[in-house]
Amino acid sequence: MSELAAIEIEERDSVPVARISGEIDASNAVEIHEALVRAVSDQARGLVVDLTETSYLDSSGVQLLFDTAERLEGRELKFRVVVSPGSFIADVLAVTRLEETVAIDGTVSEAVDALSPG
Amino acid sequence: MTRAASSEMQQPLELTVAARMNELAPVRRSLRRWLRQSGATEADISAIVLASNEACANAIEHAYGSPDATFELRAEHAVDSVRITIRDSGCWRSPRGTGRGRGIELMRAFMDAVDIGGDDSGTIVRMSKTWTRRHEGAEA
Repeated sequence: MSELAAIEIEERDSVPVARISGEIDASNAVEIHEALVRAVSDQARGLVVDLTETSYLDSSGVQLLFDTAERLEGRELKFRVVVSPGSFIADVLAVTRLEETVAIDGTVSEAVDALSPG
Repeated sequence: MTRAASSEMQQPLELTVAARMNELAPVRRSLRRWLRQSGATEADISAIVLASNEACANAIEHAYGSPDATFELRAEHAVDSVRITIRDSGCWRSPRGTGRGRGIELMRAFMDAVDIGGDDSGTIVRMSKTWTRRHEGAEA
């Protein structure tokens, strides 16, 4: 992984949550996409990607989210993205209409709850 | 000296950059620093840096297969706006896939004007954004 970004993965209520800190651009988006797809086992309910610590995300990063959604859907896994409401990254995702394809939450707890049974 | 007077005298930023994707982050840092010195708000800085980064990524794609290729970025002040020009010497290619198409969509969403032109010698992207300086916001 390049030094621009770091991914930390932790399980919350059996849901893997990948927190991406740093910057996502065309130099590392493919690497990050592959790391996310590898992070989810087929036994998991799905994946939560937490962008609240992400300081920069461009169209390559948006593409990475669409690609990850497609790959996980192919494995019948759910996918949710967490972004701070009102942040610049929230604006970027709104322009590219990510919410038509991927569920977006304001906090990790909401995203994990949505993937938990019951 | 007020910030307005000093920013009017701020020199344009001129960068010549190797056409490699790992140069995007250093370009963002240089542009961010220049915009900060000029007194731009964080919201305007985020918008201008993103749009410029998208144009730079396109310039790098145009140079694909030319290992020594470079492109140029220029940022300058007009009366109440910032102008960004990104010039490469590669051929214009239609955006590859929806990813790069989204880049142009983002440029148009976050800047006031985006003009993409080109000829046999390369592609030139001109963008501008009217901006508010921090001290003006504070007085309002």
